[in-house]
Amino acid sequence: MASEVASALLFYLVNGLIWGLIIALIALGLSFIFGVMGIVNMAHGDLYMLGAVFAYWIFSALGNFWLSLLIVPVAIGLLAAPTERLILRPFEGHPAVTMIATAGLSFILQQLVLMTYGGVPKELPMPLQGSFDFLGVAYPLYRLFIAALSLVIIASVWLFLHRTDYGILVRASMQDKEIASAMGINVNTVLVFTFVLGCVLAAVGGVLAAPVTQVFYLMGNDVILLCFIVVIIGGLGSLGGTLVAALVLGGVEGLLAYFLSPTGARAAVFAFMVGVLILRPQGLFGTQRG
Amino acid sequence: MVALLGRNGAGKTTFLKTIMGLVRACQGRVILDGVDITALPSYRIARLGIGYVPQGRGLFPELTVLENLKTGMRDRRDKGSLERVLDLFPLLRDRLGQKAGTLSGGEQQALAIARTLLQKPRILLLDEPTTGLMPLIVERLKEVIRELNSRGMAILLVEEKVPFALSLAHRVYFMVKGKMTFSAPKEEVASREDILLKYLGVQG
Ligand SMILES: Nc1ncnc2c1ncn2[C@@H]1O[C@H](COP(=O)(O)OP(=O)(O)OP(=O)(O)O)[C@@H](O)[C@H]1O
Ligand SMILES: [Mg+2]
Repeated sequence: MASEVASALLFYLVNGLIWGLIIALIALGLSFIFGVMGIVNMAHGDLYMLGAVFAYWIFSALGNFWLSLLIVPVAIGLLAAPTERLILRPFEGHPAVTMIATAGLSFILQQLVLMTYGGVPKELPMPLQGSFDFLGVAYPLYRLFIAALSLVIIASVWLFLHRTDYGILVRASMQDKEIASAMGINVNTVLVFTFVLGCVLAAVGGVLAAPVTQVFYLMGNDVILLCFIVVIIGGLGSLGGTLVAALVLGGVEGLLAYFLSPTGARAAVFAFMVGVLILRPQGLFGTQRG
Repeated sequence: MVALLGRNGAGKTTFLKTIMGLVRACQGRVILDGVDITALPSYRIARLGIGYVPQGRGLFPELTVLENLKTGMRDRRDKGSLERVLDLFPLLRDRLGQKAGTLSGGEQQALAIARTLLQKPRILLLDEPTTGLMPLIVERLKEVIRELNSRGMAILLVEEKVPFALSLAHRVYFMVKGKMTFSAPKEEVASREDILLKYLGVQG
């Protein structure tokens, strides 16, 4: 009996951690866009939603889920690049205006999806059948795939930022755009690149989540709240902090889901996070840079 | 080599930023080799051969010394140039992996100049490079600046320390309230007390 409870708890915990990895992926994009561009991307959750909706459409049209992992990043890149150039660039350095602009974008994306995709939540079949035995708990293979791919992507982003020459230019622009451009760095290109990468991270999170959640035009709303919390708790601009905060949040929500309803668990997590922020307004790992 | 002197807040830094396109000129133009570069973005101006060492160094404190140097390099595989610049500032060589924010003042200034030199500028703009440095380091910096100038690099030096500027520059410009008011060869400035008194309000 006790071991049954333990296995059930473990199952919920792992579920939560995997959800945490998806959140980490999306939050990373949010934090990256904020860190480099100084923009709070209010439409970030809707890029997650868009990734899931595209995955649904691609599956319906081509009967293949995996293709979305290739097509969606390209499609989102093609949407995000002109958005940065035409909508965000003119308001560079005006955080409030860009916040309003991306909030408008969020609304437009949701309404466009409502018009074309409809308002009814839909589900995708599991792209991977079978399960994996972990400490006596049978675990769906696809969820392990989510975990593995998220980790690979997060590690790649880190390696890109810290081990490549272009990554150096991105981090330099993050610290001081004016000096960076005086050093001959084309900061505008860096900004487009950052926005595209950040949006693609969110959309890939959406693709990965599509088969394990309901695909719905408002599905980004909860997620963006979670991401804001994770980014703030992790400490602005701290990649490692974002990852840890997302895993803690996912794990706690997973465990609570065993005792409470999913909605109850989410409410409890929000309360928990608010508590953390009251105790440590600069986040768990943030320095007091402001 | 020319020096630009002026009191605090005279507009010297703003003048350099205008050349770099970091501040947009309301009037007047910046001409390089007969080409109007006033409206170009900063990174294009930098790539045309104007190297800028900002007041307060303007390093990327969270990047390592080597990473800071790489931000200045167009061709980041060019080990030869990197070596030559490190020969000029040997103290940086042992600190390549250290975060720039943790360097001493003299090392930071060396890094700031080294980073800009890696852009291979023809013209070097130095904004108060001696601020906060120990006399010994200032002497060493003077040698480096003189060396660069003798290799054919045009240098515009903005300075607070009048003797330092006079020991390096061939011609001295004075800026008062945002306007270039007076210029003279350094011998004339050095031999006439009244010039410094009039344009800087200080005793030579
Ligand atoms: N040509 C100008 N017209 C109007 N305002 C100017 C002009 N040049 C500079 N200013 C203003 O004067 C102020 C001081 O300028 P700046 O920082 O360039 O002075 P500085 O000579 O570099 O001083 P410091 O010796 O303290 O470094 C700034 O607020 C700047 O905006
Ligand atoms: Mg100044």
